[in-house]
Amino acid sequence: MSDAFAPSAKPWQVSIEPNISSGYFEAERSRLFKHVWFQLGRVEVIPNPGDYFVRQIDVLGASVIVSRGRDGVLRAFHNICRHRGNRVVKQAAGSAKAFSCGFHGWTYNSEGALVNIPLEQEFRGCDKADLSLIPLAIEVWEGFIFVHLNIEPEESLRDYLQPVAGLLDGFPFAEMELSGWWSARLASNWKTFQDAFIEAYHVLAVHRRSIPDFRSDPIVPTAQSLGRHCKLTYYQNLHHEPKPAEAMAFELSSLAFLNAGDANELKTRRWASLNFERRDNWVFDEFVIFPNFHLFLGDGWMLCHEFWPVDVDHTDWHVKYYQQRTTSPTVRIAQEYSKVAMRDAIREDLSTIESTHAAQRSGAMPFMTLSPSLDALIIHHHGVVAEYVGARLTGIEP
Amino acid sequence: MSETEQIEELPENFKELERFVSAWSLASEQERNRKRRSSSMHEIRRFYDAMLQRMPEVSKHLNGFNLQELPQRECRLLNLAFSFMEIASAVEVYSSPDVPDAIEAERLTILTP
Repeated sequence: MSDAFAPSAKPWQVSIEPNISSGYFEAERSRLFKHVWFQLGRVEVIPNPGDYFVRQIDVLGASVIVSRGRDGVLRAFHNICRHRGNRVVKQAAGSAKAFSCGFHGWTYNSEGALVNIPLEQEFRGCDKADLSLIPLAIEVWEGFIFVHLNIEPEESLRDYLQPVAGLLDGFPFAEMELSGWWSARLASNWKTFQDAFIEAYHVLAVHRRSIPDFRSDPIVPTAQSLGRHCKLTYYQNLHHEPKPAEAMAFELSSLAFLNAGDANELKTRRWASLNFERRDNWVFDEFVIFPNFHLFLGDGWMLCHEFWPVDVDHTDWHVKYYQQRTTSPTVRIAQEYSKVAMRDAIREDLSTIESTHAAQRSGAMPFMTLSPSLDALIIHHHGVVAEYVGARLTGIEP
Repeated sequence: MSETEQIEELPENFKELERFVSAWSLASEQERNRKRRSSSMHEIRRFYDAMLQRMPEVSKHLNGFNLQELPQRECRLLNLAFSFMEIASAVEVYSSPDVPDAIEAERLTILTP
């Protein structure tokens, strides 16, 4: 996909078919989603032995239990009772010594072993040891829990994430605290939904009210292809004129978003792995972890988007905003400003997605016209999906 | 002192903001956002003007406290400051209680704990 990032490249014409075709979605389901690592959340959510949460992964038709065993080890299981397949756990999260199926009472411990069958003598010859909850592969990277449908995946998580894995070294993930969590189900293909969050071109129009002077130098963020993953590095306008509340927030804490701040001070808070161009007006790096996890990392905050396909026309989306943990009420006031600004801007972002999908669905327009620079990550992402599916990114006239 | 007055009490120096407590000193993002969207610009503007003036003293006062050990009155004041940050853009940016040209607020579920 390197052509897409070459400055001399011409605009791409990318077919709309993959965004609206049920056949293509079925191919994504069988050839892509069954073969990738999925990010499901942070380890801090289940700190103690017996803590668990359950996640529905519609595209796989799976319900997954992530549990911390009495031995402190994280495990992932299909939420399926080995008797006749009822869902063992109904709650979304909790803490339990054991999971007991509500249908006939089969009971599993937090390590997934079947420990009790009521009227067990009627199952004579059955070895409980063979009837543990069915495991998924689970691995943790920088505190993010990932699972893979295949208990013996083709690649370890570390290999799967290359070359992204080493690029975040030093970012203070452990200091981050969840401060905002928003979700929606939109009538949109999952790729179209994601496309709205992997370019900055829209800022000029979509955010014309909220951040009218975001225009920065360079105005085109730096796109990088990182194997199947990719990355966008954003810059801000250091001459941005803050409004009163915003100026107040910046004064209370340098960690407020988007902080034009003091460029000299910014230099002391860089991570070798982020802001690779070492620009004074760096504002955040966005990592697009294939296929559906976007990680934005800024100064004192991070934003985690998850895009979960439901069917070809629907996507469940969750975004979690984390800010540096603090005991200071005044820093929290500044953070509240940042959180509200982030949420309001995201609501502007969401305004275009369903109408774009509906328009594409009409079939009247055969292809999108994508800029090789402004839309670079969209070209990249659709290209990687096509590689998994075994299709070509069609309609291209470079 | 009646019960209502106690509930609306703020730290000593902020008595004139107590008239906003029942409407705006709200504990969750969801409540603060709902209040913003259901208020008129007139009501928002009155709260904004009163708070904007006092915000430097509000933060100065709260600065001496630990977020995890805030007394009730300081906690009310902090929630007023949060509401100020919630509504500031309605006045300064959008000239409208809610964000124009955005997805309908009801479509976005606020799950913030």
